[in-house]
Amino acid sequence: MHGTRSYVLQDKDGQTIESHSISAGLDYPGVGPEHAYLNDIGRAEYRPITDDQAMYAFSLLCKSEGIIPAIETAHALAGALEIGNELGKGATLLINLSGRGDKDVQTAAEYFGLPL
Amino acid sequence: MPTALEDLFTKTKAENRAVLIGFLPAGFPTQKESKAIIKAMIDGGVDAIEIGYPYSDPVMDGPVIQAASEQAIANGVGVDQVFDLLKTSVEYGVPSVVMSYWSPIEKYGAAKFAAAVSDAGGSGVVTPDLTIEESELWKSEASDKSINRIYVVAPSTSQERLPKVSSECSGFIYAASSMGVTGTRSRVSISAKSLVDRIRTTSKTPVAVGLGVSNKEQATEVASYADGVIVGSAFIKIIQEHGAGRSGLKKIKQLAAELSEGVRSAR
Repeated sequence: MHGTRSYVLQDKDGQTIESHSISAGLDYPGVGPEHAYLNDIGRAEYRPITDDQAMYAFSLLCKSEGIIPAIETAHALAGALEIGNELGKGATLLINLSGRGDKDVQTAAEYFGLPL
Repeated sequence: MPTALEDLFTKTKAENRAVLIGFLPAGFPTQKESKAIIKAMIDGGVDAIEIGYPYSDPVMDGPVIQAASEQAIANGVGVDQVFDLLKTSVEYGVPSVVMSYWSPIEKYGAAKFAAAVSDAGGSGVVTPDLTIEESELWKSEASDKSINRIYVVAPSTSQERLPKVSSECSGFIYAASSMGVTGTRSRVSISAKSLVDRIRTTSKTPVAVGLGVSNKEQATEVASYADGVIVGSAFIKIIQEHGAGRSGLKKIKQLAAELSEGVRSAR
């Protein structure tokens, strides 16, 4: 799809299936070939995160650090919460806060049912 | 043994004219009507048929073919309809090929796909998004079934890359006449002729120009230097505007006749 051979959402005929994500930047039915490769060689581990998990992490970072993360980034934060629970107290985690979320306040307000 | 498509190009070369190729997505607007449209194209004078496999991400196609493909997919068109239409087109008596993006072929199985094209009497497959670097499997399966492999080259194809692609083509080389997507244009890009000239320095395989031809004047112009003229969007537009009833089919036949005159009067 789109000139690359990678992991894509598709039906039995090879037709692409529509994706959904609360994050516009993740609302794409395929995985970048570089990520697909890193997965295949076992260099990186990828986990699914739901809209609700991502928005919980979004809200948590806003409240605890005063930082609005991008909703894309909130998925990584949600993953970090999972991994943190698995590693237990005293573990060190490095999170790449890859994007800022002031662009996402509209979406967040709608999600949390808040007036803007 | 040469394919029916190769025989056609040999014949038209002897007649000193270009081949007129009509394109239609399978199952547009319905499977039954697409058969009638192809029949009307052939009755009007189209020499060969290219049947599109409607695909969800038609990166080469413009809005007209995209809309037609979406409609066909919504109608549930899949691989069975593609091969059914291919068989019908062959039975109407013209060399016929399938145009398919790689994903549906890979999903179906390259060997199975090549066999199905061959069983339906098809001459080959146009693969717009299969790069030469990734084409080993398709090369072997298509060769196995003696069907043509048709790749697309564009004005942006570099001089270094051009012979790599053209040498892998059989039947014809698909020259995309302008950068961008399919669709009727008021003027066929002037880059088409220079692209055809460039291709000819690399290969003796016939060259057909697509993406942009919609009337007799353009067909005549392109047929003066190319071995084939491919017309798709102009036919689809007629159906979108007039339906596939009697008046729509009459207009399809009329356009085919005009284009056919064009390719015959070019040289």
